[in-house]
Amino acid sequence: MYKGKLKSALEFGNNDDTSEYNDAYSNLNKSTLVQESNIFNEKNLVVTKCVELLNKIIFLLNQGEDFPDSEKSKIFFNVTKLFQVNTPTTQSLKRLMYVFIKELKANENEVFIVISQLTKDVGQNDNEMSKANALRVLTKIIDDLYVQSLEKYLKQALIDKSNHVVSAALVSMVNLYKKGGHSTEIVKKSVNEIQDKLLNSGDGNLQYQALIMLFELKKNDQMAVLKLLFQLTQVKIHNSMTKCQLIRYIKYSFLMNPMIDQKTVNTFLKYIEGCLTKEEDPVQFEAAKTMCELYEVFGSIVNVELPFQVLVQLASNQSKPVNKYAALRVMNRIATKQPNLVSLCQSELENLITDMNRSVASLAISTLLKTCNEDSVQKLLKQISHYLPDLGLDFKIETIQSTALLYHRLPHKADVLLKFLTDCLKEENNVQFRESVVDTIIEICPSQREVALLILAEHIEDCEHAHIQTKIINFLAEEGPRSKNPSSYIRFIYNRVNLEKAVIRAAAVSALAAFAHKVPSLRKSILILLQKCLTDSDDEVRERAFFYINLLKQKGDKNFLAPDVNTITEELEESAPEGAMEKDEIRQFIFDSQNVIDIDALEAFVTQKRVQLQSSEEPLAIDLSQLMCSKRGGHTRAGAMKRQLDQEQEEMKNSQMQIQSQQSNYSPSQQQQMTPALAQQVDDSLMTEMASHPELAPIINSSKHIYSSQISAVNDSQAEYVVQTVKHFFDNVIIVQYSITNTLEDQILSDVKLNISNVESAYNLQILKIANLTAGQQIKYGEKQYVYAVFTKQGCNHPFPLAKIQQKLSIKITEIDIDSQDELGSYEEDYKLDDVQIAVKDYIKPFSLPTGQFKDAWDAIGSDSKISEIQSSFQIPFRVMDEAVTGVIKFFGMGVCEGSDKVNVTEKVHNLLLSGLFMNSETVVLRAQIGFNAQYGCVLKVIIRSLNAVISNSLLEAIN
Amino acid sequence: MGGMFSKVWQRLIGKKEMRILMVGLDAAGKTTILYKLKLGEVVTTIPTIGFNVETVDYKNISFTVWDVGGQDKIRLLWRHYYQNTQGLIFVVDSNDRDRVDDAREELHKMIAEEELKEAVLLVFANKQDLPGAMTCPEITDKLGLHTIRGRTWYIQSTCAVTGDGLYEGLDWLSKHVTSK
Repeated sequence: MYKGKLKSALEFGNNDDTSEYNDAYSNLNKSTLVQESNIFNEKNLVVTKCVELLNKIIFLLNQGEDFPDSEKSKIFFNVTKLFQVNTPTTQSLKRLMYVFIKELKANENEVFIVISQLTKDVGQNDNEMSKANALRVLTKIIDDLYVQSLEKYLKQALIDKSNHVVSAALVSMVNLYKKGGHSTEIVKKSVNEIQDKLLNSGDGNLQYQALIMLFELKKNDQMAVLKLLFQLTQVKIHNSMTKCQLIRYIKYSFLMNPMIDQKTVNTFLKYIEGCLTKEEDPVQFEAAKTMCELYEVFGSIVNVELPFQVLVQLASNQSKPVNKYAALRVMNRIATKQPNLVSLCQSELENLITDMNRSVASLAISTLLKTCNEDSVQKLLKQISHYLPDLGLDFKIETIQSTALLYHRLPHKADVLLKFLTDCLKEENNVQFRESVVDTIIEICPSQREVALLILAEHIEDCEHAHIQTKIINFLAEEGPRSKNPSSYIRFIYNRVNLEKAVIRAAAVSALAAFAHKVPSLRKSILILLQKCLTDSDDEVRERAFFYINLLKQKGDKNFLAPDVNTITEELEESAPEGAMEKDEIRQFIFDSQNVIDIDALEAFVTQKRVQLQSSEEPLAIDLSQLMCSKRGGHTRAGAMKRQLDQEQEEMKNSQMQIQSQQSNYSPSQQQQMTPALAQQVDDSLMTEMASHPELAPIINSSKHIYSSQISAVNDSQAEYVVQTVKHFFDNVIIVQYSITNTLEDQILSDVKLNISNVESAYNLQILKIANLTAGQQIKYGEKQYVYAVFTKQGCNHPFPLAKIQQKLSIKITEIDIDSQDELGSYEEDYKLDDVQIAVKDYIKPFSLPTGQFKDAWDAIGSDSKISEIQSSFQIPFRVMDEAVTGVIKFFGMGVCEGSDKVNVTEKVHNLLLSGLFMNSETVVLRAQIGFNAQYGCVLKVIIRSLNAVISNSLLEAIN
Repeated sequence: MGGMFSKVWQRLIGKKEMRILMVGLDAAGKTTILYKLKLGEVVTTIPTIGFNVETVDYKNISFTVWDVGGQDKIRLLWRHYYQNTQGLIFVVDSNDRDRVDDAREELHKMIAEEELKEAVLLVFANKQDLPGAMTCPEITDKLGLHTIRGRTWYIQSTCAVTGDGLYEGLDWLSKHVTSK
């Protein structure tokens, strides 16, 4: 018999939809319920039946169901008949009736029918259930017209001897207060009674409700709020909910009050600290969390160690899952900013890796990966790999992705990570898992190229998943040629040609070709290998092989080709005389370009032009540059995660910024903090644009891009042609990219030429090349195009040269009729531009340190060596402090820290704290003192710290 | 024998219940009548926004009286309370000559309703203590009660403040509703 039960239970679990099981609340039919509601109308009410029906209706309402108007009326009036029941045995029914009226959003032309009865219920004294419930319903349905008649009842209810009634009054007031108008006024009159309940009531729930109400009433008067909160810290609070709310309000007030004085802060902090011990878990947690959050704003005046211990304790194994999860979440957050702190509790966190609750375990691992230091990473990975096999698939993948983040934090430990990942590859054969491991290895590759490539190359032999194999082969084609011993990968790849299915063979052929192009010494041998592929059974493989042989073939290579193929290729070349010349370009496009054709864009383009393609005999010119997308930037999931992490940090910074901006109404640091993310985007799209310029491609491909400056305007944004510049720094050249935007509807610009008349550079920066618009390129209304000036650093006596460039643009302007687009005539015009500077700020990416962290950064850099710090004083041509401060910030293009851009009129010397990333890699912190002196005028004293003396010196020299 | 049995029966099932709907124009005195019957005293009333419902025990009958407000916008909602009504009390302010026509209109509209087909009609000619009050025959005439066909009706002069005539009305109701 038990077996039978068990079986049916199992079956039930398996086929939910076919199961016969039904409870009273599934499949409720609204119109049936409306019909049934007639039972409320009957002369002899059956209480149990009515209760059951009302429960069902309320259940539906709580599910978010609504009734059509006519049905709603019917059911509403039927329920109002229940007002006649009034015996002790029908209390439950009556309570449900109140709940129903409260929940049903009855038609406002009808709902008032119950006002008289409800008012009577509120006014009577013998039944606290009716009184409390009627009050709640009444405040919910009443409108401004009748609310005044309610005032005296509310006041009475507030001092009622029953706590139920008082509680109903408080909740009703919270609801009324939100309604505005008279309702709000009525509540305001009771502020003293509410305060009395808050401070003197022995009931925790009442205190909670009173606190919420009073805070709402006073929240626009911060002094009053602080006073109230202070009073509360001095009285006994009877439940933990109120204490948690109090702590939250204290935090809120801190953040809202820029002018809060130290003494008050300390008093409250002491109170919160007191809540860390001897309290219930939620209070302890709230206190600990709040202190950690306040630490982010106030810095070291908040002690975080004790709260942190509390968190650790809450997260410990004996604790409830909800406590563990909550505490871990806060710890995870702290770990992002204060890894050192969290790393103290490594062992506790390690215990949680095996927690039954997946969310807890996952958070623990994520936190550990954020915090572990170089010494512990190996141990941690060992532990993880020990538990990994027992985990669920999703969770495994998540863990692998977290290790990718670990790599970005501890790049030196790439070797350990790689070992871990290699083990993972052997462990599990699931395709998604393998792919994420492979992605992560690809991500790590730049720092451990040889090892990583070898692991990947070996993995193609074992892997059974075609798309992972092709991914690896493509990656090998990209990275392999740059490795120390490219030829070793040829074997791995060529083996695929013999052993695998067509799609992999085709990928292998392309990869071989890439090796042949990039490693000239291997070209001949690879050509022989490719030639063997000409007999492949698959069309695609054969065609690729043929194509690449033809492309790679140089004079004298003829012998390598089968005679018939040779003739065909020669014929092809003869029929297209320019073929030989184009081959270089094709090779470059296929092997060297940073870009690939975006298949989606190509598809969209073809769809769009289909009609034109079908009808026209003429070949269609395709502007490939519009269809390109960058190959750079991780396509991998790990890359996406990294970006996501960056974004999260950005968001965190922003949220902190909001707090800052609440403290100081406006500060320029706000804007500056926004820019890095923006600049990065700009950087990518501009780089792509630049790489597509035929004259620049060779330069770009032969040198390494280091950093691109922020956009700076050359002329007024209201000008006819808006010109902006971005400076791109490469290892041996600097490219200034001028963007020209046409803002005139009746003109088309073409033949835009950049004429540089003079380059002033103390560092001997020389102009190398100017790349203008290509012939036929036009700038129509609203469009933007680019011209470039390339400067060479050869002969330059400084790694970070500065310069001032004088130039003008010559433009051919074609006037057109706006309506018909007919050309009306054209002329040439010279357009003079302001001088463009390659200034020190172009090298620096502004990066404001989070509030409270400037000192740490300053000390961290300073403590390393004395050489890193240099200081000097200057005279600067400003007359007012404000201007001087803004001028200095602008000059260095750095991020403002600790809100130090705010000038206090009373101070004689202003301290300005700035930070930034030089060439997006080296942190530079700067302390500037600005003062006025009768003899010298405005005097600036700067102290610069960075880990690189050359950089510090460059900044100082720049001021001269 | 039969009488004895019915008494026993009544004791077993408890009191007899009767559902009464009391309507009329605003300020006719409905709420005052209700609480005079319920509490035996005159309470200060405000215009009823909605309804009052009370049970009045009289002569072993439990009258559940629904007193629905008489303001214009509430009159539209009277119909929701017709169902299962056994007795209809229509209260008229005998001193309000101006609106007696309105009262007639409302009354006739109501008794034409299908849901009230079975209900007996009792008209209270209220506020008889006032000097210029219309008499019962006058009101019978003004309300057109004689034109009503196929319904048991009765008019009773009352004064809610003193309670005159109220129980006579209930007596009539108990007789005529029970007999059905």
